[in-house]
Amino acid sequence: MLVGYESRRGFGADGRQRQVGWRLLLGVPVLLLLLFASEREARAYTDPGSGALIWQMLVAGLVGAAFYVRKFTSWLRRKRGSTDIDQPAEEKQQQP
Amino acid sequence: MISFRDPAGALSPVGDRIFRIVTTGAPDLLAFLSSQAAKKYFASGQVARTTVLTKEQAANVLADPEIGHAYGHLNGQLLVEHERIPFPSYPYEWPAEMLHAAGVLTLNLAEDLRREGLGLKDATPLNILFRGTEPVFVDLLSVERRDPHDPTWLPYAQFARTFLLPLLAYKYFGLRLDQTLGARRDGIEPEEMYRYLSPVRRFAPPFLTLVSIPTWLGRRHSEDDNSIYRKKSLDDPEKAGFILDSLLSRLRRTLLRLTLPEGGESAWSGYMNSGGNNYAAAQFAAKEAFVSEALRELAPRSVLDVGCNTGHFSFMAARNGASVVAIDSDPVVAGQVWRLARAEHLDVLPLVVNLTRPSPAVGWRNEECPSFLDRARGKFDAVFMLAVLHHMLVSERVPLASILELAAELTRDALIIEFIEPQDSMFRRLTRGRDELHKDLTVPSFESACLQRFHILRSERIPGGARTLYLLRKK
Repeated sequence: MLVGYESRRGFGADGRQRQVGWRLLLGVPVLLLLLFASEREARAYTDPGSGALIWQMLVAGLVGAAFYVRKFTSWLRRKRGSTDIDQPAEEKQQQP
Repeated sequence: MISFRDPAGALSPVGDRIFRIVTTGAPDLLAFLSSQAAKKYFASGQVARTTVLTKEQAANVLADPEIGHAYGHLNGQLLVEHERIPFPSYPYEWPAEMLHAAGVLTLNLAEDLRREGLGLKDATPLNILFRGTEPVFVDLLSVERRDPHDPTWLPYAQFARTFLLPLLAYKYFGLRLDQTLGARRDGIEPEEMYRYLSPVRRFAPPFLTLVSIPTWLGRRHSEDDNSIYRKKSLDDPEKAGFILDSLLSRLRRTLLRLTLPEGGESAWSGYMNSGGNNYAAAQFAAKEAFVSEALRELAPRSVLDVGCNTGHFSFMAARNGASVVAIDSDPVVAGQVWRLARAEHLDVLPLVVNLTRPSPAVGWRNEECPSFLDRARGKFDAVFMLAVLHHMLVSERVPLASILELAAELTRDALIIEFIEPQDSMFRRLTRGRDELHKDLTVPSFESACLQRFHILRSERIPGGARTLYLLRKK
């Protein structure tokens, strides 16, 4: 599947996240063209809400991936921030 | 019984009071009533104020045989009373600006509820009424407790159908809300709008994401595949919340893009200041003085302004303490009235209604949304018919006696009406040469028609014109 909706796995490395991001960026226009090219007529029992629901799920998959990216960057920032603050304290301790 | 779609409860009016019999929806409703969101929205008046009746109070109300029977039949668990909104109106009577404001309220509510683990079951403008210019969310049973692991907002498609696509159709194609929401209970389906879009527009935002993609995806989806409707559950509720917040903020951005520009133009929007009307400054001042004096004298608490145009006289009545319903057939001017009244905090409810073709009763058994006349009859202390009579007489060919008969049904007391003689240039513009049809319409014939149902308290001929103002009182 192009976009995992119930993406339960986190992304291990930053590089892998970027790769997935690019795949999505390229994937969406291709998906649109495919959808457009293979248009079908609506039938009597077609649910008008189903398309919007599937679209909501696809976008949710993307946003779900963005959630991990954001979590990772904020973790990174926190880590950097904490080392910046910790540094002088450690230096002080080292001084006799 | 005027509501039946939601098994969680049913609305049941008794006299002037509005009760709701709550059945399976009781736990959800109680969760909402004890939330911070409920406190906030009750305080601002944006959700209809609601009280749970004590056993004693409920027993008194249920003594009424109709609601008592319904309560037993539905196996009621709880009886609540809602505040009454003075004049119920429906989305197909609103200018687009009001649908937009209703959409903003729906999203605000959805966002605030989410923070407390609650959500909206449905997202339709039928859940909202207007108190003056302000939207009020009235369907409290639409609130439910949400599974915090669920990242989907099921009413998304309905929000698009009933708010976004009608606004899109109005903004880009000039389709009025009565043409879209009046004919369709549940809004415009993306598939329907898709058919009207040019190939280029199908790829242009916001049509691409609101119309084209849902259409393409929906058509490819197998009719027998119900898997998409299965409840979704993520391990991480924080992630589910993040996804939901992002969806709501995307909807908010889309709604913001559909904001209507101020100063829209139509055949009637420039009537009051372009000189397109038939009044010199002195004549208009005379008309203003006449209406102002009548307002001081009668002090009406409720007014219906028929053919309100830019709302000048509606605002005068509101400033004089009246609660005003201002109707006009032109959605652009009704939209302007809404903006102005809202900016000035005036109690004016502008509606797009043509009194010669008033909104019909619609829905199941024609009972879900009563007709405009059923809601308006006998509800006003005063009715204004200023510079509008000739349109009803000439363009719509409604007989004078019939117009006065309806006016007498609408007002409880007064009618301020402007008589326009057939030689008036605006009158003649409308007759387009068919002067013969109105040759018997004279001041004496008009007055004798009025006397059938009204007393003439006073009249004043506007100097230098062919127009006379009347203050009439119902017999």
